[in-house]
Amino acid sequence: MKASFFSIGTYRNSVKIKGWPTAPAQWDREAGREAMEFTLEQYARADEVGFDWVSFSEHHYMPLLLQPNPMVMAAAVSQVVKRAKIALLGPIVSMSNPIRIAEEIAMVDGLSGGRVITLFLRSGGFEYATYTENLSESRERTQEASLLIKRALSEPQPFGWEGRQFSYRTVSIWPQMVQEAPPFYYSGNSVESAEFAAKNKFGLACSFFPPEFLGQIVSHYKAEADRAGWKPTRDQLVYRGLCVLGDTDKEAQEMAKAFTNRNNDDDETPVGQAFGNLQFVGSPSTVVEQLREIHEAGFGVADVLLVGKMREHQSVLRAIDLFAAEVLPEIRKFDEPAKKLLEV
Amino acid sequence: MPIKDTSVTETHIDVDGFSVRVKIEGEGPSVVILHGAGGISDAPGIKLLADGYRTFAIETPGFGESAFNGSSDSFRSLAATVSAVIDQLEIGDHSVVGTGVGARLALWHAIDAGEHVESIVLVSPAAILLDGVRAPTIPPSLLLRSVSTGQSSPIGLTSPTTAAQEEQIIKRIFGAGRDSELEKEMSTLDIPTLVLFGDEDYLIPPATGRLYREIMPKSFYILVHKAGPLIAHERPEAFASVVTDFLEWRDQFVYGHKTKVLNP
Repeated sequence: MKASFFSIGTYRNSVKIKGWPTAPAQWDREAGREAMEFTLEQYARADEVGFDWVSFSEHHYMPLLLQPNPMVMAAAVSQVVKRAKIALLGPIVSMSNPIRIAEEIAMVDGLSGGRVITLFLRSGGFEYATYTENLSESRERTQEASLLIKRALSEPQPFGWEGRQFSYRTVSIWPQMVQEAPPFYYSGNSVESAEFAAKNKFGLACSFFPPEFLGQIVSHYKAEADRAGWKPTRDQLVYRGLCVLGDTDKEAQEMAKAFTNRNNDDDETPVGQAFGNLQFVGSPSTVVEQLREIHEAGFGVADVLLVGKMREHQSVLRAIDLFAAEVLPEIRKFDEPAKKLLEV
Repeated sequence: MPIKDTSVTETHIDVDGFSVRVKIEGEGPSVVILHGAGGISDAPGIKLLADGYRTFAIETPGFGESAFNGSSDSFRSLAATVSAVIDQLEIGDHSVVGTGVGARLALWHAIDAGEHVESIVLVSPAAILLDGVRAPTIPPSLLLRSVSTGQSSPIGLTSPTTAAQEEQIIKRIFGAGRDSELEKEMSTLDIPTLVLFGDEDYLIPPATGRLYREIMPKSFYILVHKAGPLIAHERPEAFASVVTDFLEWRDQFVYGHKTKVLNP
């Protein structure tokens, strides 16, 4: 199994969260500058210690994750992460101009020497209020934008697109991708999305679902891929989850408390953690077993949001090192029986 | 975009030994419509064009309800018959919209008698076929997919007898492989040309559109999303929107001409 590191950064200032959005009045300039610096450092460390991918995602109007444009962060990270894949997991493709997104993907691919992986993210909830988007059309917009972006990155001649949701009379992207066959993924948190992904030969990325719900989606995806005449590899199934890793289970559970308490008006923890559910909590051996469940559900890449103690920067770096030293070697072995069988 | 009721008149023009049926509809600049499979189209997208244009739908001899055509020996000669019909109608300056095999006629008409042709629209055109793609024979019906429900149902294009008659003439005059003579002429055509393909076209691969873009210096290749080979049926509003924009603005249609001011 491969591992991907997703930094949600460390904005250390105390913020009183009262719903969404968070008022810009609470912005602390120094904490903001520092958060960007810490984020780059965390991604670089993950690369150094052996994570296979580093990943990015789009979130708006809140201090929890300072990545309203994942492309900008990915472009910067591509200059400090020298080896790992740059996984855009991803831009919310229904909310922005898909042609602009395609241009940005191609730029980041070039800047990273052809290491970009792209997920066409649908997302939901408050994100759609950011640009006054119609949530009820999000599925159709995401699907159409995904097909348009993929085509924009592969069509050899200028073309136009007359869609139901998007219309462009001329598309001719420069730069194009450095990679010849860039990998694309699709949000997979519903059977409908899994079906669309399979039909269009996209990988599938699920997030935050408990393992018992993943089986149905994965088996539907594989069955539909089979109907479409292809077979997804393990690397084409990505699972994203939050991870609190400690030296011991007790330490991890103590740290996890900060993230499972819902925010209220009195919440003054660093950036008011409001995750609610954590997918991986424990010592390295416990987390390995939790990841084994995900692997057994069919996933080949674990995209982990390592949060550390109160998301403090040093604690996140420590979690990255611990994961690389004690979790990564073990989860890599998950695929070994299959590899050995293949060799036989 | 609701379809308005416009009066339709029908006339017959005698040319080259054929009595050619022409349906005329709408008011405005002239647009000649050259059909594909099954004869003159009743597709809502075509009908929408008559809202702002005077459309002349010409029934190609040997197609649709017309009599058997045993004399035309090539698309070029068939196009000459069509050009003669246009000449007799005294249409003057006009654009031409050709669908399927009608696109081939539209191109020959523009090449050989194009002094009055202002723009060309090729819809799911069968003028260039990639290696291994057969000339589109004409089934009596095709599956029409509803964009809103995703369900498909058959749409009758023509009777089995007419389909057999059309297939006969296509086999006789289409020729094998790519038409190098036509493509050579297309490369010198100085008329703005719009090429439309449905991105789900299962008869002619939509990627064929790239070849038109490569060959024709003034061409634009547009994919109509969620449409198969029956674009004017499946996405009538999208069809009419892009075609009328092109007819009005020609190569300037790549710019937006509608105001983006929301609330004055």
